[in-house]
Amino acid sequence: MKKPDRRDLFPGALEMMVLRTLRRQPMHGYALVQHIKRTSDDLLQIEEGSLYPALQRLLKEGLVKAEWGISSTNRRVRTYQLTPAGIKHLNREVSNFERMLDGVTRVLAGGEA
Amino acid sequence: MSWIRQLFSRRRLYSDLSEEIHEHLAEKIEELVVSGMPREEAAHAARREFGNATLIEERGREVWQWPSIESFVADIRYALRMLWKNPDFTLVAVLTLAFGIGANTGIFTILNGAALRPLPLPNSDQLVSIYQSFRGHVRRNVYGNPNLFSYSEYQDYREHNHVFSGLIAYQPDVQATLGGDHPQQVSGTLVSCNYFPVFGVQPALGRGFLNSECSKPGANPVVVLSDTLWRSAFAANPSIVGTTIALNRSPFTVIGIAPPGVGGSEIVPSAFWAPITMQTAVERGNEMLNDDNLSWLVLIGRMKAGVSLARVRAELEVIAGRLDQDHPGRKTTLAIQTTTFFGGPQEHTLALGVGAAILGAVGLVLLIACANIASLLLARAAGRRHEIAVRLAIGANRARLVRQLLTESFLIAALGGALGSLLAFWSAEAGVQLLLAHLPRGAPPLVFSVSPDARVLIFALLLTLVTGIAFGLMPALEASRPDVNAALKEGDASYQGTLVTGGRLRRVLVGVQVAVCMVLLIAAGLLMRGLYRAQTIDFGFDTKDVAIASFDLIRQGYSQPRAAAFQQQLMDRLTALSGVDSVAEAATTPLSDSHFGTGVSIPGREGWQPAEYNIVSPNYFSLLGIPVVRGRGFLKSDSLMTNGGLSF
Repeated sequence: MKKPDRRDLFPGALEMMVLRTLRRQPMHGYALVQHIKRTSDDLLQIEEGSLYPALQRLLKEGLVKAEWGISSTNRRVRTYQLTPAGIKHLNREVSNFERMLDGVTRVLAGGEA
Repeated sequence: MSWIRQLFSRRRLYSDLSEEIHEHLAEKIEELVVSGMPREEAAHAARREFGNATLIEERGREVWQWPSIESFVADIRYALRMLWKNPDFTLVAVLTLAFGIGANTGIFTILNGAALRPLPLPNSDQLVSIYQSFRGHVRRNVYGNPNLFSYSEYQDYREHNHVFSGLIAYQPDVQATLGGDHPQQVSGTLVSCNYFPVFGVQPALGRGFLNSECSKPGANPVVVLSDTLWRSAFAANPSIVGTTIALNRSPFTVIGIAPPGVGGSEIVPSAFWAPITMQTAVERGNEMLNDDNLSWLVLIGRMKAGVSLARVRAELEVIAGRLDQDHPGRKTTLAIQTTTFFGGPQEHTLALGVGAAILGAVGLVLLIACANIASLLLARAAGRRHEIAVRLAIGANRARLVRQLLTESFLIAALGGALGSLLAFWSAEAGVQLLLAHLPRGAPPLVFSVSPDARVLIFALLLTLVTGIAFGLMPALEASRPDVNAALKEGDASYQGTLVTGGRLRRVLVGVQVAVCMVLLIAAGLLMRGLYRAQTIDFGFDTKDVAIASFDLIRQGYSQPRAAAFQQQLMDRLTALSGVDSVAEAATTPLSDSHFGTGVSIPGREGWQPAEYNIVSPNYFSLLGIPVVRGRGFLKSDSLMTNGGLSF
């Protein structure tokens, strides 16, 4: 059985999006993944589950912290929140990413000329 | 110390993760149901969107682990449980491997003790042996071994190198008769006077040699005895130091006793050491010191701290090149290596060659053992098919399964290797004792240590690892083939199909076993046959009822005329004995380990042909029943050097 072609995200991309989303406001896992899917207009194919190992990594690095609570829909949810270290990390990652994207874009544009 | 906190709160982290995932799915289902999807369908859809929950949860947990170590520990636990549940299989596999690995380790232990291990002397890794070989136009006298050095060459290397803190020379295995009430034949060493200091050995009693004792040929008849000889011949009497003993009838003053266990750097332990300058006193009739073209001395140097083997090579080669200038057309090549027993190029090649052949044979035995266990594992894999299929179905990935199956193999290999190595270390010791006890009479008392060292342990460990892969990998790959569906629905046609392919692999393994067994059987048969032939072969001469006595009168200080008279008298009296048919003399006996060689020039042909020769009395041929095909044998009138007759 051959898997359908799916463009993988580059390493660290999911983490970056999670951090960016959490900077807006603290969220729990389900809401996070729905938000990312919605905002990206479903252009990114993300397996919902893949969010959780990423969240564990961020927890371990101390970039986010988590707390159990009750949601507005009266559900027990674990809400994630950015730490100061997380904010610093996000800023660094985003500027790195933009530089990279800029470089790649220039090369691609140059290829056309 | 957050990792310590992590270690203790890990259970909590895992249950949080698990609950979170559970809640996620619940929320998703709820949402889908609210949007109008039937609950059952919603559950499916939620799972599909989420991905493999088991795998994801495991990935999430792995973030907190040192993954390799922890899953390794888990694998070992599981493997132990599986082995414990199948004691028959485990026992058979472990014993088979113990035999296979044990045989290999045992042979390697002996090989290591004989030819690879550095000498049992202080800092012996700094000791290097030097041997030379020549190419081109060479005429060289040889006493012992063509790779050795002459005394003047030794002096050259000693004076002109800057890489050794000391360079020694010695003549190994010098046969001498120790005089006294009970004369005995002993094997000693003639050494340069820096011998003991360079080897880092301090005599246990008395002193070693002074450098001045090697300055003038024949001037210093002093000797150091080995602890073994001191105990066996002199009852460990300390007052022997300072007294005089006789070696080949020459008087020598005992100046020291070597410490116990020190026997020099040869496989035949030395019973005594005397200055090299006393060579003619011990070996009368041979003048070796002044022969600049005679190979007779072993050279061993101790490298200065921080000097590499490469530098030693470079520097000594310069000296060798300079020596070559005195011998136009000659090119000397040096072989320099860490000193071991059997260190000479010839001995080394022989020991390694024999060792490699035997290791090859026991290697094949191990191969058979591996094939055997691989088929057992395959048979067992068929039985575990359902278990493995279930694990694949609930999301285990194949690499993880293969790793787990391999862990089982490694565990079996490790148990077998440990047991086998224990057997090997014990039996190597016993085997060497047995071997030494069965050497032919008159063979020198060899000593070498076969206790395991780091090299042997590394060998055993690597062998165990390789063995684990060799018998485990194929069955593991075969067992974890992801045809889950077929295996779960037993009786399915494709399931039969996989059994058949597994069967093919097993048939191949059986074929390999039979083939390797045949090779071993044939080789063993040929060896037995060769041994039998060696015992029964017709040498071309008759050894029945022939007795041999050998002695060296010249070495004992007899002059040539006195020796001839003694010999004649002995012959006459022996011939007169009833029961003695005939007596003959010969310089060496046929097929013995000593022989003389020279060059023969044949008219009409260029150069010299190498030829071995023997010096014999007239009735030698008739006594041994050797026919003289053309012409005649010797007559009594031919002897006394008046006539040069040769017999082929």
